[in-house]
Amino acid sequence: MSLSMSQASTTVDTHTNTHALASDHQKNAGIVIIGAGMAGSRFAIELARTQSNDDTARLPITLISKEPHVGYNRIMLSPVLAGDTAFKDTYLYDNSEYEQLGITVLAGVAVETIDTKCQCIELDNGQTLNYAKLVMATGSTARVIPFPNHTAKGVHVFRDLADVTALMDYASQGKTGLVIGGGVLGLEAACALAVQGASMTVIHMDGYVLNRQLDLPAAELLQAELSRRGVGLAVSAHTEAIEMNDAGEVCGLSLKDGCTLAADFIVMAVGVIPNTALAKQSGLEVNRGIVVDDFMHTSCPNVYAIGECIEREGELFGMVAPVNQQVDTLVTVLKDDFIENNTNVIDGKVTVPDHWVPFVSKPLSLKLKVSGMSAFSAGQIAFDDEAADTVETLVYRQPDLNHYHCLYLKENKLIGAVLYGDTSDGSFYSQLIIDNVDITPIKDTLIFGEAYCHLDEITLNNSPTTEVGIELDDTDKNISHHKVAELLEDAL
Amino acid sequence: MNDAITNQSAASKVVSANKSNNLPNSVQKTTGHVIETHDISAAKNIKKAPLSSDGDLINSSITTIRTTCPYCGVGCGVLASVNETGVLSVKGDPEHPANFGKLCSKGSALAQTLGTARRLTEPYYQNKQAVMQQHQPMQLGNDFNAIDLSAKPLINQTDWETVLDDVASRLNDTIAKHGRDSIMFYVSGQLLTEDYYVANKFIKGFIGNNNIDSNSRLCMSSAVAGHKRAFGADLVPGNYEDLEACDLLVLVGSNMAWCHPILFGRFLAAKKANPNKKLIVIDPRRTDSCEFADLHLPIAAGTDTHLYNGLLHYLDQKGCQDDEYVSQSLGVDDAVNAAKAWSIDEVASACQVSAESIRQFYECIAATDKTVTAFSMGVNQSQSGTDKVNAIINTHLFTGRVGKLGASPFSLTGQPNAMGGREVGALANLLAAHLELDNVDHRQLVADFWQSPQAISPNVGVKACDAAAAILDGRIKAIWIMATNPVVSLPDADNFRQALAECDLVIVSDCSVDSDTVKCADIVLPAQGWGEKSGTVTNSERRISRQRTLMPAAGLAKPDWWILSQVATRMGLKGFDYQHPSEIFNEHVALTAYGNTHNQSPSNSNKTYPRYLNFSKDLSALMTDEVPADKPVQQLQQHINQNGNQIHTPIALSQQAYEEMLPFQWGGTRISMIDKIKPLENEIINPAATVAKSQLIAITPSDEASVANVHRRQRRQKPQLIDEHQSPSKQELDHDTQPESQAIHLRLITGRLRDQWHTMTRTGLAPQLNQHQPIQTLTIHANDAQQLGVQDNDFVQLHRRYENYEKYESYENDVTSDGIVSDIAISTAKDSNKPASTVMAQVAISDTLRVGDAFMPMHWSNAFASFARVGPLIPTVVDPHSGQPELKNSAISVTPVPMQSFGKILVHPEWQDAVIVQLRTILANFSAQASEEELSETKCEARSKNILPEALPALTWSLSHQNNSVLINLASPMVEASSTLACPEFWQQFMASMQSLSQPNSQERVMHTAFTVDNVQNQLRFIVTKSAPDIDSDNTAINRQVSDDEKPSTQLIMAVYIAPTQKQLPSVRWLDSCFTDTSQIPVNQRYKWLLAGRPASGYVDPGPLVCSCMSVGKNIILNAITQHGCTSATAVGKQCRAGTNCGSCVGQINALIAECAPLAQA
Repeated sequence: MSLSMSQASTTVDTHTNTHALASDHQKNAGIVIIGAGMAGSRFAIELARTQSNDDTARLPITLISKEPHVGYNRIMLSPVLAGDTAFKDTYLYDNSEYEQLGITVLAGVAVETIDTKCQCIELDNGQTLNYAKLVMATGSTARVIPFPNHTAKGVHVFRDLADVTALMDYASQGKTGLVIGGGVLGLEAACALAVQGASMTVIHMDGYVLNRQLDLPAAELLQAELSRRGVGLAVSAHTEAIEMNDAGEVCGLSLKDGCTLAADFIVMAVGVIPNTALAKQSGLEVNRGIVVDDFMHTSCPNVYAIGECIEREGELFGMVAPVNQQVDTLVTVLKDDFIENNTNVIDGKVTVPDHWVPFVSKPLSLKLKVSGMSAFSAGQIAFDDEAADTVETLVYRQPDLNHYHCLYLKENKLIGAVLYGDTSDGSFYSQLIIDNVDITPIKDTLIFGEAYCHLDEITLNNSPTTEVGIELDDTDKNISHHKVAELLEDAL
Repeated sequence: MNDAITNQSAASKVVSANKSNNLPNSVQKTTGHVIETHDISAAKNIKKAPLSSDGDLINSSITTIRTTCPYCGVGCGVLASVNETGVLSVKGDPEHPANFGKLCSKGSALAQTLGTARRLTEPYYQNKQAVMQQHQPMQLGNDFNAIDLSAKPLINQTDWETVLDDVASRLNDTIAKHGRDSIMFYVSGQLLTEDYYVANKFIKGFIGNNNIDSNSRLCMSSAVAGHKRAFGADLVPGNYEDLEACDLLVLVGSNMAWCHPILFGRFLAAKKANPNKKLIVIDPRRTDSCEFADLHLPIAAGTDTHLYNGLLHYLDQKGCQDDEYVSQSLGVDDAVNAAKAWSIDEVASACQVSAESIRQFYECIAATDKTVTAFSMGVNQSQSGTDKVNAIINTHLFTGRVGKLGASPFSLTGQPNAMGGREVGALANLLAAHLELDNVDHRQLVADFWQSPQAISPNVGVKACDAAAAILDGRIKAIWIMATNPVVSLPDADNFRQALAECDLVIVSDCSVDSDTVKCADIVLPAQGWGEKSGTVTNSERRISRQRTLMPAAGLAKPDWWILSQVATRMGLKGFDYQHPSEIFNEHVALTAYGNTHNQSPSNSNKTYPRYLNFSKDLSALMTDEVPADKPVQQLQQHINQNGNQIHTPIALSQQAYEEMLPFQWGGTRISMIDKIKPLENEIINPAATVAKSQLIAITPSDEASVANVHRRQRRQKPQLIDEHQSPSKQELDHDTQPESQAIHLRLITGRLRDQWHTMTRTGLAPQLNQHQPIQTLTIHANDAQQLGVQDNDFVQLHRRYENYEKYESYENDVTSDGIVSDIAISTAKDSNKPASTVMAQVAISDTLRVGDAFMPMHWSNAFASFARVGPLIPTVVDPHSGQPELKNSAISVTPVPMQSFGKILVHPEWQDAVIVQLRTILANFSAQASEEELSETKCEARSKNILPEALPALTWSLSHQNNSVLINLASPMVEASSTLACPEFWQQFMASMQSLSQPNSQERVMHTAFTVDNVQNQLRFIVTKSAPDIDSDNTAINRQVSDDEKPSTQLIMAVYIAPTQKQLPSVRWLDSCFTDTSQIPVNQRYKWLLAGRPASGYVDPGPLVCSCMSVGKNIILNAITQHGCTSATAVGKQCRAGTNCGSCVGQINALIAECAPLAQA
């Protein structure tokens, strides 16, 4: 079994280790970020950039990464697996930028304990670091369902570079693989591996793939496309057990209906679990994730949390857009926290500085990242029968091109969208869903996309209640697959 | 009278010009030289407009042919240019004395109406019952399953030999079985004089009855009757030049701005030059002609006789009579006495206009010697049409304002050759060459000339409006309809249609597949259309012009004279061996001279046959003194030397001279109205001058003149004749249960639109002519609309109004009674139990109408709309003197039809018929469904619950040709039909059946569809495209999974838009352009743009077309007004060219300026 929580490599990228770990760090306590994934690295860079724009005094920033590779775009692993992208192209920032911004990067190092009273942490290399502010960005772990023989050789998840390397090896040998979970990640993995030479089949519990993200017509188009690409599909298929040979290797999968499928390897793409062990043992309030407030404060003073590891009002976050929002929120909170010597940490009653931008959870959108296949969804797209009666749907179809768009409207507001084939208007629809505006003036042309809709018409009719600062372009480029994983978790 | 002398000298010039130029006048090879053309009878010197000044004609590859426009009675000269590739363009002939180079919107669009599209190209037999059923399945109460459409082929093509032999033998059989009177011809003002002549000769001289009537019966037969009463002959008292020379033009019942635009333009030009000239319009509607009027009298429909009696009385009181003229006229005292009752106040009360405006009108007339009263259908198409004509003429005779330059009554004829029909006598009560049918000597003369095998019948034949009755009661067993569409145009149109369904043999010769009458034929014969046929036509001022061949005939189409002659010959009849239309023309000319006592060489016979025109004599004006060697005159020996008598040998034109014939007025330019006037020396004075004795007619206006006509229905049911499928209660329902609470009663006035002609079979093909009013509208006053609860564009249903008809028995026996005959037709028990056709239209609210009046154009037929024929609404009520039906005063009731959904379909012309067939099938299916549902409910419940009347159809549609596609507008009042129409699956199915209908080898075509649908709103957009052929043939493209994005071009086949409101449907201008070319659309945006109906950005919609000639849309004009500050029509014209050609849209432009003026100031 090769999970992502492998022990940290001892190798440390040379360029990240330019600042010697001196004991004076303990004295000059600064901002320490645990986790250099997409949330942690982005936060480090954004905070440092903000500070560099100020001539005021600033706290040093330290970024601690358990993986040897710092700040790569995990979403890009699918194209890496498919051979479309080189791993080096997945880095979010040029590595020199950390140095230029004065960020201390500790890579391949894990945090052992946090002492929230002394405001210090202990690393697995024995070092301790003091912190003025601690940011938890510990991310999540791919979920493994403990089917019988789930530890057999050849059972993988698809989470980090090591997984990619292992899976590509099977594919290059033309092996037969199964993917458990017809979510975004599972489909991406299956398609990528099929392109690389593996013979792939996706095992999905529900009636159609991506059932939480797509409606039936879109899913059918997607399934037809999978079939054209030689990716097999078993829907409404419930795994009974993983079949293992005498050598302890995967040799197949049996379903509850009695069927058995042969396989040389199995990829479990059944969601992620927030990494909360460290937080829990450190006494932070943890539910499914680390509990935070609107300003990313955890239950413990001077400790914050962002990214996939957090829980906010019961919600977990697996997509880039909300994570980036969390980063932005936290930057507003921390950029001059130190200078103002602000002590009003959490207890709910303190006044919030005006410049703090609260994190507001927005409806999420999804985009499938498989070359030549585009699917997008946003907002609410599934309804019970009663609700369905009150929902108006606008559908566009071009059967020959396999284009399908469906917009869900309620009381003349866009509440959900599914796009298949041509997803270029996805961000436009997301924005409309987020803005929750009355689209009556553009209703007749809404289905044709942004080019047909004059937004000034709708803003005239609707007082803008929310000023949204998220960058949609980024949303488009970096949609996370984690939401899917999260949803699949519920399904399982 | 000096004009005539000028004319004669001009005539000689022509010949010399032609002699010096061997090229026939008709076919001018433009060489860059001035083409020598002269007019022999133009009343004034025509400014020569050298053709070489026009760059278009310099090109040596272009052949230019002079011909004559086939639309209205103005008879404009047309220069048709055909380039090497056969592409035709038209412009006004600057030297034609009717139009001097101008053409109206319709004439300008002639080139768009030619070609093989929508043409009949081969003779065929038709399964009449099935085709009629398919063509109009919405005959409520019919059992849709009664006729199995698939049982027999609908059409069986044949060849001319077979069909001509067959027609001949069937006509002979009919005569043998049912007698000579069992055959009827229904002919048309669209025929050429030569066609008319042969038809008339065939039936009157050889078949042996007078059952030939022309659609001119519906057009100007009241004017003919009026002229005959006033002048003793069917002469034309005025000329076009009078319209320019007069000081006052009074238009009565004529929207000249739309219906005779070029002539109106001549008057307006003169008025512009001399603003003292006045225009007064008398019309219940404030038409576009009123835009230029100094006074408009919106009199109640039908009260013209009151107004003109009052005028005669006024003129008498004011001492305006021309003593000399009056002393030579008959009936003056009677007429003046009859008019005495009509004081201005009496008239004001009868006409429902203010006494002040009437006084103003009378004063103006009294003060203006040079008055021309031009009248048209508003006068003629009336049950008192002849009286109206005479009431008008009375005032002219009384004041001596007749036959003088700028002072005359003047009848504007509707059709290009209505006058030609009068000349050859092709009407049931005329003979030929202006001879009298009721004169035995005249009949004998004509029979002699024709060498008829039997005497000509003395009985007036069956007239147009009596035809249905004559067929239904079995008198007529075979009818041959040529070049007209009576199923649409006759009053009680459905009754005539029913008659055709029951007639043993219906032969229809036509050129268009879009004629509803063609669908009712057993045998269809393809006739040549304009541009193919060759012959002569006579316009409103009795000017003869040539229509010439511009292009080869479409398919197997033949000239009407040829078809008739062939059948006659095959029936064994002699005298029909014509080879060329000039032979017929010469024979016609010879007949006008035959025995004409005003010939220079009088007949040996003691009998005299004086008549109004001797064409032969006039024709001599065309000839030189000596016959040139290269132009041998054809001798018509067989006609001339009959009975051993040496009659004057008339001059006959050689074929070449006939080809070269220039427009000229037979009978001279001006006919003297009083026999006393002596001709000047050397003047050709018309013989009519010596026979016509002017007579005033005493007119007694009917008290009920302005009461709208109602359909009559007998009170008693005749149960034995009731169709078993129909229960009596159902019939009652259809007839009597109009939702009275919502219905309002209106008077229906029919008429024409600016850009359409007759039943649109020709103008309907020209995209730009379909822009002006692309849908059938019912124009009503805002007060009526409010009462009805409707707004602009809302749909309404129109119902006939009935009164019970208790005198059935007595009328039944009164078959010959004037004007009442036709009532029998609609009073047969069989008919009265038939439900009336559904008629629907969209409301246009306008203050141009009187409250209580409604206007509906007469153009729409089943070929262009599902339920927009106006004919079924009109009861048959005819003028007792002329037999002309009342078409402008019918009682109707109107109910609102709330529509559940609206739609637009744009379809490639190739698929037009397939779509229409599909729509008709849908309609039938829904109707069948609806009637099943209806049966399951009790009638009472249905009636109380349902606001809509039961007769509502599931779907109504109309179509109009766009530049590159055909636009079909849809609307549905039914919820179920609306949701069906909004289903993409329905249209996918529709597409599949359409494909199998029109494309048997459909597997070769790769069709693509795309759609958007809104589940709640029943909104659908659906696009069908076809890959470009080069892609289809590319095997790799088919085998490979090719994304459409890679394909270079796509052919748009159909675009469907369905929405709950009209404003949710896209504008069609841009979409239409996509039917030729989709390359303007970015490939990845293709379907979105098409479904959206517009490009994503950057496209300016020109808006609805205002100026047809220059293709300028409303938005462009508004832009000129608001952005460029144009404050006059002239300025607008300079800015964007709108209104600079025929000018018939100037009124509309002025209205737009007026509309925008406050905005511009602000």
